[in-house]
Amino acid sequence: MPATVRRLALTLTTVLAAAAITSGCDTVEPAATITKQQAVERVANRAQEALRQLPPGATLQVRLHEPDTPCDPGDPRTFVESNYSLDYPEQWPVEQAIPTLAAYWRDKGYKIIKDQRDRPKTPALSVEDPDGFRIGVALTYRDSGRIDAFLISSSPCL
Amino acid sequence: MSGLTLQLLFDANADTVDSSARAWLAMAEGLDNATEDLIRGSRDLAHVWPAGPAAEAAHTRTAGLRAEASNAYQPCLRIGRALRDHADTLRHLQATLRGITAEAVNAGFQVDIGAGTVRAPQHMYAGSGPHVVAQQVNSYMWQLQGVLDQAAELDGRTRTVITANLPDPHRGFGALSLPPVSAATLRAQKGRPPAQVLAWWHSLTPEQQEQAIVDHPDLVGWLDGVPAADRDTANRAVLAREIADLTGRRTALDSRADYIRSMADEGRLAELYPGSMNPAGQAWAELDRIEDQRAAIAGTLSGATTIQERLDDPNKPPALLLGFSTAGDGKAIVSVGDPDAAANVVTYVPGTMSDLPSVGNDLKRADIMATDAQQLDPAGRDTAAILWLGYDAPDFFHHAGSASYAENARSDLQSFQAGLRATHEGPASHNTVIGHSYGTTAVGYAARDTLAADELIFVGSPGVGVDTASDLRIDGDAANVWASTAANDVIHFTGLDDNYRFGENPANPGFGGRQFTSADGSLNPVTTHNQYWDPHNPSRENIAHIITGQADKVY
Repeated sequence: MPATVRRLALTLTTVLAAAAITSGCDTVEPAATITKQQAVERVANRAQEALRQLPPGATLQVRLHEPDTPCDPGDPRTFVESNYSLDYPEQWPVEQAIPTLAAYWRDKGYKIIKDQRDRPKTPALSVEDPDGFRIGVALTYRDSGRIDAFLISSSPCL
Repeated sequence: MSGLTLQLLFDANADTVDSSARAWLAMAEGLDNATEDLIRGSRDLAHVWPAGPAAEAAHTRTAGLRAEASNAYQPCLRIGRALRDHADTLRHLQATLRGITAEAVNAGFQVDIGAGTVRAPQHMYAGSGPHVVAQQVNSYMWQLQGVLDQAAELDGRTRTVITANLPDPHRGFGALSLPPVSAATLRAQKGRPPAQVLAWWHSLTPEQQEQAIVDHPDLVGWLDGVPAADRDTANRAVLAREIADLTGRRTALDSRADYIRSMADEGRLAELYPGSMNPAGQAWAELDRIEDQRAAIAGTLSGATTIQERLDDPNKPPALLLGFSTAGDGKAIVSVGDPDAAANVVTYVPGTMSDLPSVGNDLKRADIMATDAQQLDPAGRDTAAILWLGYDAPDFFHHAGSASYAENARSDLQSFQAGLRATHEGPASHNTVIGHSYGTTAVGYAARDTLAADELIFVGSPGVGVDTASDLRIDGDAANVWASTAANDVIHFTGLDDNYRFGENPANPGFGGRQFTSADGSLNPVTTHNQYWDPHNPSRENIAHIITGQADKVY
């Protein structure tokens, strides 16, 4: 690429970047009344609500909890992500977790944003509610024969 | 060994020697750990029990005990290694002996291992002629003698090592400390191949290692080839010192500002600036300078504190500090998980505007990658995810057009990756280097020469300094070079078509690497540029699959 063209491209980038920074985030906006703390609680409640749809005996263990990740570097707005492992006793029907939650979320009218239920070793399903909050369930079939289950709950940019 | 015979060599049990070697090496490791515990456990004795005859006696005895325990480590290690070499070489010589014997027997000769002779039956002399047969017999005898000579040499070598390293019956291993490691010695190690640095580090006694860490933490902390746990100890000391120093400087600035304001309130600025024609102006100028200095300190202190909090967070996987400096914009290398023990290791190189004050967001990405990888690894093995802010990234978008930042990062990143290989314990780990934005350029520039990585990942790249994946020299090939750029990423504007600021778009099939899916992103191109680690973005699981060596799962 000629140097002049690259310089032009760089200038263009700088201008666009500056414009984009000032224009702000375009991700799905939740209800204006939701505060960051409410978002953290809603993300956690959404995971607990999913757990309650499953047979008793399982618990959620936090693997990752990021309550204030900036939407962009320097952006005061943040989003929430919580990632849980589903700890369950022997004989617990872990393979029913995805179909059970899929039916529950369908009845709630949530939109499917990622459907990987047909993957043999790592099936997963993610959905989004009208406010842009997302939740997903995923299984991992380990080489050892064990099946690990996970819930991933997140908020939009707030 | 006098009286060494073929029969003795043939019958020697290498497994027994091997068992002894393992026992000595295990004892060395135990001594190493115990000595470290002893050193760290008795380090503060002088502070809590500073004076008096009993205290002095205790200090002397403790110092002697530390030195003696420390001095025992290297002899044990040397004997263990000598025995291990002995067992390996013995097996090799026995195989050679069996090979010579089998060849001779197949050729019709009679080999008597007990007597150490090779003979030819009478009929061979008649068939091939006496000179030829005699030459062949002689050849086999020389070969057997050669094996015996090597065995004798091995025997002597092992005996020398054992004799030289056994403790003195009266003085044990001695209570005199070996000379301390100097800053000059440590500086001389920098730039050497990390494998050699590791060998040198292992040649030190535990007491010397501890002394080097305590006396020169800035040097040990950045020395590639030093095990991660030792670097972590050194860098935590630097971090604590820097936080205390920055806090102290901030307090001093605050005190000075308060003092200036109080003097102004009392109308005594002339006393503060005696001889000044404009004490008020001088006061406001100094307050402005203080405010600038305070802002700079606050940013650095914020980054340092963020790292400290992550290291101390009991709700997250243990993290190691592999590098820390507040010089310039500040540098930091933080590993989520132990890279010397993990099955998978990913090094994340962030891009433009990444610096110490904003380190928190990049640390989150490291946590995310470690978590995702553990979720998707079919064996559930550990992944260490390293934030490598070991270079000065461009501060602003308009700086990101310069290649100088990538050029300056090159050798340090190469050395760091080589260090990961050198210090890893057990089977080799699956190592990935991932760059984001300008970080991809830094990674590409390093890989143009050579970069110790099995996989490369470029996300949101403005080009990586080469126009084809095959020009990147890693431990894998072009099929191990991965890239993804979201449809709405602002980085597309750094060039025309697929010619980007620093070369061909690596996410273009024409680059010759492999592509993976990311979410298209939001309508804001800058936000999209930073969404590769957002929850539910397909890029996250693709990155996790690459990190864990599951190329077939990448989409």
